Amino acid sequence: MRKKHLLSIVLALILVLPVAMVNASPPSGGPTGLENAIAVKDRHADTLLATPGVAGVGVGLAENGKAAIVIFTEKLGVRGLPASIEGIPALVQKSGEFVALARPEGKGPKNNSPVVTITSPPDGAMYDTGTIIVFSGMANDIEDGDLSAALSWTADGSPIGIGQSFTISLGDGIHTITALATDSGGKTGTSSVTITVGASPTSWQTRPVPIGVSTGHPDITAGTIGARVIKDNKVYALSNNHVYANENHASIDDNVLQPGVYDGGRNPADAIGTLSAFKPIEFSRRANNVIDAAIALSSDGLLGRATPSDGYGTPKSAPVTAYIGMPVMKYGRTTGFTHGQIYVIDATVNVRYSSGVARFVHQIIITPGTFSAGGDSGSLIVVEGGADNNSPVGLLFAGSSSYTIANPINDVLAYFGVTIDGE
Amino acid sequence: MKKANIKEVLSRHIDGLMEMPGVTGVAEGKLGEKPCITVFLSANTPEIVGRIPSHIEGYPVQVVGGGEFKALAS
Repeated sequence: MRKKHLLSIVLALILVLPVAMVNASPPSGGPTGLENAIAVKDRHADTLLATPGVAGVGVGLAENGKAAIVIFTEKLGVRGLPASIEGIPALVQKSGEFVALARPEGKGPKNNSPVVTITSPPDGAMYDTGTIIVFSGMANDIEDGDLSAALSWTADGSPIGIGQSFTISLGDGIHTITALATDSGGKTGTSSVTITVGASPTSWQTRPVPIGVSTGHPDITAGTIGARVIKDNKVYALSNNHVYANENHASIDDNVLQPGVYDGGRNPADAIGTLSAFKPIEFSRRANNVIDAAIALSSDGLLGRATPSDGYGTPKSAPVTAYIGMPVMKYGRTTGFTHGQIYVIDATVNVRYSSGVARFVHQIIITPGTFSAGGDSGSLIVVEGGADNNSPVGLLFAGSSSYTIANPINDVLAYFGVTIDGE
Repeated sequence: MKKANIKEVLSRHIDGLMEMPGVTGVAEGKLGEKPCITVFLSANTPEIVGRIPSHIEGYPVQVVGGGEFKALAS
């Protein structure tokens, strides 16, 4: 693909050169010997083009104003090329470098990328469900000028339109909007904004609330509802100890809210359940914590079992064991629906909390860093694709700018004696 | 000499590695298709990296930064 493109540039230059020559030269048949050079070039072109590394052959002017045969090479240092052919000097030009000769304005050999600006929607904009959204942007390229009409737009990687401006409505959820421009040299420029349509995972949700949205004990900021779990026909919300039990400080039967206080949740008006059980975290660098988990008693009327419609839906009930390279996904309060893969397993890690550092063992670590952020704590991590698609693997609880850490979900479910209320 | 199972090797060396300055995590990882021991550091400085062995009981040690792990409430 790349090579083909290179060749087409070279061919265009061969056509351009004689024109430049006529403009710059004395009357036809003058001392530059252009016609003779073309004839010589034609006799030797096949042989030259058979030489490895030679991309094209043309005729141009040497610095002294005399005709020369120009041999275009794909890279510098191609061996076995003649210095002259039938008495006509042969100049070797790396194809990319020759662009400079074709640009007498002196722009240099570099092709600049187009610069793209999205003027609408603004980054972070929020829209009601079904809103017709105006998309508009600009693309400018130093070499090609205004490329706005050829802007190519995507939402979460799927095409939504072409051009400087258009309107369309998008489904509920968080969407990454990207506008891309490609110049005649194949260089691209992009710009992206993130918008939310309908209720965001940080919003108050119509009851029963979906999983994957903001929640928390009244004394903490906000985390995420991981899943609806069941035991003895009772329904519970699963999240982390540090989301529902405030790092061991909460009391059983305390309310848990949707959304969390940080997102405007009020106690008791926005309660969706009461703290039922949690595994205490031992804050020590020598501890062998395995889970950071808690469950809150809820009900069918307050808590659903699926993510919002732009997520993976309802998890499966049967958990699976993590392996290195496993593709996974999650839906969480802050970063929404994200995808990653398991980087390492059986990890021992020191994790910083408000209460101090706690060591965890047998953990799962996921990349890339964009898989989660603060507020995603408590999210259920499920398998993406294959026979185990949507099967639970881990409970997200910690991370850094580069990694996300999860408890093995088997250990979480076993501790409380619950099963995921899934398909 | 047959190599010990990587989980056994990890269990023998985790405490020692975790006590080294700058080390925040130790795990079973992969380098290409081969099992390795992955060590996470809070700061990827040459001084810290220099203290980590390149191999442990025949397994290569992969050292990575970005290990400032914290709980992810908002």
